[in-house]
Amino acid sequence: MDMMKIIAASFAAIFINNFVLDRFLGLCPFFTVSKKPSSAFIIGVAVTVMMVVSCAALYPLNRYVLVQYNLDRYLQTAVFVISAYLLVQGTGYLMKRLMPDMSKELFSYFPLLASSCAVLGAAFIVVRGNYDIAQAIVFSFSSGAGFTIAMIMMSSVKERTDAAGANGARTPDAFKGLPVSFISAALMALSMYGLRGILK
Amino acid sequence: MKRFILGLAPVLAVSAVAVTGLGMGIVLAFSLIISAGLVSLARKHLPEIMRGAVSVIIIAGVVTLVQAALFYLLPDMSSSFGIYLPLIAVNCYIYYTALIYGEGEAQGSPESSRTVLMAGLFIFLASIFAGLVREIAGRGAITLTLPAGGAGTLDLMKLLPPGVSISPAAVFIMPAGGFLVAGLALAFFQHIYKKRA
Repeated sequence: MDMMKIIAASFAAIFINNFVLDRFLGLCPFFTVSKKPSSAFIIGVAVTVMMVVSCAALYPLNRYVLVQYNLDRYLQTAVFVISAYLLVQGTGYLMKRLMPDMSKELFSYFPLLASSCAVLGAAFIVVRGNYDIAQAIVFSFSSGAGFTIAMIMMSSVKERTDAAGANGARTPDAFKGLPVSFISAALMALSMYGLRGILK
Repeated sequence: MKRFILGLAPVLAVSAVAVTGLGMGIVLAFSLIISAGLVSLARKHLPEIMRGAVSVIIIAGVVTLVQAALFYLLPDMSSSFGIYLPLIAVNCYIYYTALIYGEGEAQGSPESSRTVLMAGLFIFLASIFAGLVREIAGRGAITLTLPAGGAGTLDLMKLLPPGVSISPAAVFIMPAGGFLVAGLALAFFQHIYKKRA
């Protein structure tokens, strides 16, 4: 894979096929993110780490075990879901042991990642899209970066929509909270859609 | 309301076509209700430390069966769901933890089974609504048989009186349209809810 292809693939994964805004994966953390961009960043990092780890582990498992013995059609879902659960628990435990002085906040999100569409979604996309292992790693890392960017944008938008504007303008009552977050997400998705022409 | 919307990712992703939205609604509601029922039954007999892992295994099993059944009964539907079909497992787990652990209720109580049934009904209605709105507004047509855009499509543009022409707003079948429809629907519910309170 030459350099240009890597750049194009990661640009597509970060912006055009953004995990949250184009593929609807990882919506739960996206809409419940706090107003602090720093904690949005930490969740983004945790998700990215887990996406790379799960792609790197599930890709060979699928290729050399499931496909080899013709089990992929029936057992892929069950094996992936259960292994992602174990991987999240295992990685959380390892990181806690190896880097005990890293911020406590990062670890508090780890159990939640077991139920993250983003982590499993990345593994399914990689396996079904017939990626090779290098593409899989590039894809999962840049998708994680795209997810982090979307999280930071959303947390900054929340800060603005929750506060009164300079001229006293406020979010209407009916739109407060989740509805206005969805509308902002729609606008972000629209702007990402506009970048589609670049890679043609 | 708020906790229901969170597991809607697969519905938003496939609801650009009404019939796949409806299919996803049925599949998601069915898997949620069956897996929540089985998990509640099993949980009572398990020690605390094993509960998380066992519920993941049960949910993964239920979704695998649903997936295999759909693959044989409706192969077109199954392939149009793509990766969102296996991801139902994650959604069931999210609903399960949000609905049951989140409230700290006794397992298997009428209260928690009612909540799960309500969630199932909500998913079903939301997916019909999202699918219809998005396809009618975005394509001006309703797909009756898969694949989308084929012979079995009811073209609403032909029903307009002669001389009148409306072009559909393509934004509704883009991902942005999914967020937009969900946001407007949520605002509508919030408005009614606030009025009543």
